Amino acid sequence: MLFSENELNNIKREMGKLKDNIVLKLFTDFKTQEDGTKLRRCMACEATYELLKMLEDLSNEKLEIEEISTEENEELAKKFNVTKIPAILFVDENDKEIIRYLAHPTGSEFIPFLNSIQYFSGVRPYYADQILTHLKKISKSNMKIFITPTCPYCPATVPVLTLFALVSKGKISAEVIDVNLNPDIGMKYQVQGVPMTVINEKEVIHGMFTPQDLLDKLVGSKDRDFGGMYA
Amino acid sequence: MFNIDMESIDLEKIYDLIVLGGGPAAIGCAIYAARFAMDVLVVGKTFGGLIATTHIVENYPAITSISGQGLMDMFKDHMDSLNIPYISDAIRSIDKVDDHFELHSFFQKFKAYSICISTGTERRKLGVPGEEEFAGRGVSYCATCDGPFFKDKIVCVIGGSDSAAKEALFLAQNTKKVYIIYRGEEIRAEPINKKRVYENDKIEIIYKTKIVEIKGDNTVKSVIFDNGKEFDIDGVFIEIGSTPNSDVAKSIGVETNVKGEIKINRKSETNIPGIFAAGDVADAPFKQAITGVSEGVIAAYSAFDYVKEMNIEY
Ligand SMILES: Cc1cc2nc3c(=O)[nH]c(=O)nc-3n(C[C@H](O)[C@H](O)[C@H](O)COP(=O)(O)OP(=O)(O)OC[C@H]3O[C@@H](n4cnc5c(N)ncnc54)[C@H](O)[C@@H]3O)c2cc1C
Repeated sequence: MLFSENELNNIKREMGKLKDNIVLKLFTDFKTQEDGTKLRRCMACEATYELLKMLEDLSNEKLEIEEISTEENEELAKKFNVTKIPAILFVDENDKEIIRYLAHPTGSEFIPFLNSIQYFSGVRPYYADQILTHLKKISKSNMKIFITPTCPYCPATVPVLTLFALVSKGKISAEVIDVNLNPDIGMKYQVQGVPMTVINEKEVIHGMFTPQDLLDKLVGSKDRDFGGMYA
Repeated sequence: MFNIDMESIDLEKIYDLIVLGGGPAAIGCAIYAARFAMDVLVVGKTFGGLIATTHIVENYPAITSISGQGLMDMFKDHMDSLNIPYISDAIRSIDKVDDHFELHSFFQKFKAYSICISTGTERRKLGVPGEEEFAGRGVSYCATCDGPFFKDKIVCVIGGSDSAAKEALFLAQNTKKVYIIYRGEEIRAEPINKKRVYENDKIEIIYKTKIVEIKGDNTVKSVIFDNGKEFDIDGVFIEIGSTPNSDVAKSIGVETNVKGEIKINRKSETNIPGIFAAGDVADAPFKQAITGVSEGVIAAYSAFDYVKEMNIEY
């Protein structure tokens, strides 16, 4: 991915806001060559690795990218239930999963991804207090959001899910799935429109929504009739 | 950068100008306001606005051809270069308190001496049985989002505007066949797009026809026309215009016309001093990205004048 000088400066500035040291796990298909170099056959893996490495380089050593090969380390892949690559995992110190990206977070998905990294490292998100206030009323949940790189509503919706996942420290976990990279998962969930969000394998929301909408949905507020928007 | 963290903004501060929206009109306004050295904050529900949903823009002066998303990326870069803060949030109501306004989202209160409302529009729904049931399962409001799911399938676009024509042209790139279903007698697209539609072998127009129902099982299978005929189809793209997002303006008594569009004058002023409006939410007869930007820029200038007149001590 090519960034302009101005963009790189902005990214550097934003990475400079990281607070705690964090690790992201990146699962790819690399094979270590005799000379020690890593060869990745999957193109999206190579591109995702390069993107994450660039963020690591701009992070003043706050961000560490731990690349794990599903080919060379089947055990870890199994432990984290990784069957698709590339997969980026935000996990806590007890290996509890918070966010799973089955996507290459580039183009307009890049900024929401960068924001997630910031929040993961302790930057206080805008809606944190409101979500925390209601957290007790929300049961353990999983949310999957299906996206494509060309969908303009997706970058506005992905951060809503990842925000809840990060603030709830994984009580509400989020999976971001690019259906172009994972057509089989798209088929399984019969995705014909994006963004599409599946909550606890039951409820489906088409279109985008705000943090308040999702909070209402998770808390089970009955007084608002809410469907996804295309505003 | 967006979704800025709370530490970077000051909720106690009274901004010179708060711009509502994340589309071309809002960003145009914010860029000028920043260059007038105003303390400006942009609060938008989403970034990019409606233009980001179109695959190609060929009428924004100085840019021959670009995707809607690409155009808004350029807006974003320009905004970034001026360090204009942006918050992703939806404003629900506005109150006047002493010499300033208070803007309420679900969770936060923002304060400003002046406001530019550029909240655009929301896609109009067809309102027929099956539309809601099959949303995301064959019914779509965004070709760039969902077009790729209909590769080699047969789809229809409902509507006869320039936007509908452009959606049909985009869909024709990958689908087997696109029907434009329009209740009128002649599509109202820009001549250049009309010509492209006519010349495209994959596109066929069905005139003087309305859809009264969308049917299917798991996904859309057919539509029923107002003449009773059932027509087999895999996807229905609804492009029948939009309604203005003016509820927030109405909450403080901003005047709107019968369509719900905010009434503005040539200075982008509304009936309430200090509140300006721009873009698709306002009452101009022709709505485009460039006209929205223009109204937004004028709103910035008028807001600058308004705040200057207030003689606020900095
Ligand atoms: C398919 C299609 C193709 C088009 N092609 C072209 C083209 O080629 N050239 C062209 O010039 N125009 C084109 N248009 C028209 C163009 O998209 C609009 O004129 C333009 O986007 C209007 O800009 P705006 O900023 O006024 O509103 P919008 O772009 O609609 O933006 C409104 C913004 O306000 C936000 N918002 C809404 N409510 C709130 C709230 N309560 N609080 C905070 N924020 C809120 C929204 O999230 C959004 O960010 C096209 C439109 C369509 C549908």
